[in-house]
Amino acid sequence: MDPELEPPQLQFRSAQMGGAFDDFHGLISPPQVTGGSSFTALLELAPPQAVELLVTEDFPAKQPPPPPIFPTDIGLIHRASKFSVFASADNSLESNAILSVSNSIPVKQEELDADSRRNSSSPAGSDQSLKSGKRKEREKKLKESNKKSKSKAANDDGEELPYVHVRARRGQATDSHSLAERARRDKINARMKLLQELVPGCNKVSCHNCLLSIIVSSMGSNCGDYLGLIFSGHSKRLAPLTKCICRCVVQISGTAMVLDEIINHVQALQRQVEFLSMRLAAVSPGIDFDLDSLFTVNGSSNDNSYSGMFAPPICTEGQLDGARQLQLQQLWHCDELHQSVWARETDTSNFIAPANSLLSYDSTSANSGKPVAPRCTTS
Amino acid sequence: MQNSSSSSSLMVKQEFFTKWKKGLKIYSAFNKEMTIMERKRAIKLSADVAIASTRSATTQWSRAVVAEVSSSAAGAARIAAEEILGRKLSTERRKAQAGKKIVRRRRKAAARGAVRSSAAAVAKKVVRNRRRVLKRLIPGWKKLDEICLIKETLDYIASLQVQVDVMRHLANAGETLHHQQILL
Repeated sequence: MDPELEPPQLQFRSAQMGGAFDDFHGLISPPQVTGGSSFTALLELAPPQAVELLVTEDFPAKQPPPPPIFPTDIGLIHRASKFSVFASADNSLESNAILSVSNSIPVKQEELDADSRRNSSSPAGSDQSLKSGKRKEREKKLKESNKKSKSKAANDDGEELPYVHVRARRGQATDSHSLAERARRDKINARMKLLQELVPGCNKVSCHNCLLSIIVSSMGSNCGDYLGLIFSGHSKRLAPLTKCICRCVVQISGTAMVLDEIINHVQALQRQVEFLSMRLAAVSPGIDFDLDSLFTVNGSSNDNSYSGMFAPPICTEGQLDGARQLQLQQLWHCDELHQSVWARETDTSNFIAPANSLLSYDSTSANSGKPVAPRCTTS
Repeated sequence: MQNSSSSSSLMVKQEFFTKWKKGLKIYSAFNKEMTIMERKRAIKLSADVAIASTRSATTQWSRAVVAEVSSSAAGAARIAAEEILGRKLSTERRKAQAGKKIVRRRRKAAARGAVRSSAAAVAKKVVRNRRRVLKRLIPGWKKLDEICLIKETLDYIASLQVQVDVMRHLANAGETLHHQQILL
């Protein structure tokens, strides 16, 4: 069964990938034009296609619409300074409105595309709504998958599909088992694509050689470079990579390589947690866990301190880890400028923001020529 | 759009940070003098429990992290974890694994029956090995089948990145403060 499955599946997937990559390319070159809708576009593109793919599954009558794809990774693949977006409770109202709207749309290819386009055009509302909806769907999905993962795969994005006809692909059996198997496999592949989006540099499978060499070596040498790739590099450093993108089919070897990169990513993150906890343990004798009390001192300005701490340094994070010595020296220079600020205890949380913003100007040029660019030219 | 997404991610980071601080405070209340390894373990455990609790037990990996902590933690660790989660930890037995195992056995039997060409078989084996490796990285991997694996991986990667971000910011702040104290 499998050999017959592969070729037609690949053809189908190529069309699907072509459509998906169109959105990516359209959004990669103008950075941040639509505010991170690249992944949103994929997310809304994948569900409609996942709907067609999973048509033979039995859908319970009432299903919360979107596919059980984890919602928080939408923001992560935004270029530059976005991080994971978790569905917030505030958007539940929007989600209910959008869900009810999408429930009424009948299932057809054109309408699915229109739906995805409409959704991507209003990324803000539908993003959050779909995410919170998808989270509910995902929770439900988890319970269902415990019973019987194959048949209960309701992956529509809001349409109720009692029964949809499926045209069997050429050279493929039409019995329920193979169709279910194909649907299941396609569902897995749809999610793999989302996972590719999450792991940086993973969605360009054609130039896997240069990509793997870049990512693996950068991970091995210095975490900062890798993070620089995540945070700041997408617009600049991946520009040469995007030229290598061809709308090729995700072959099995591509899948293996994608999995490999995902494994590396997870391992790198776990290692970073270990190292960071070690760093904190080393730092804390001097501070004796009082750092937290310092943060709790200014209870009134907590939001300011958090946003000051988290938001601006996000962009410069790659440079921070990459050039620690340089950073420390620059901070010591900044010391003289900000001495009055740092002398006061209450401002310890706030000084990070001006220091890092200064760092971003200083170290951006210094660190922009880091490993990715030279490696791209050689490959 | 940027503001909304960054603000919601900010909320998660704040949540993680506050929970983590809670755990650390309990640790510091318990014993003032800890060796560096004990402190590292305390920091890591508090961070793991905090980031798992942000998912509020909706995902398999977060449940697995909590279960592991509840089964193996003792003393200050246990109390810190309970404080973070806001509930009592129970030494949970392994339950409801029978269903998953049966499903897995059925799939294996079906897979063995198919005849494959050599190249595709090799490729499939490679993919299967990688999947297995990936599966073992995720906490709570014993209860994951293929579909859940990818979902859980997505969730896990996102949460790990949040955790790494917050920890790195804190480490940088702490170190610069430390250097500042040394200088002055």
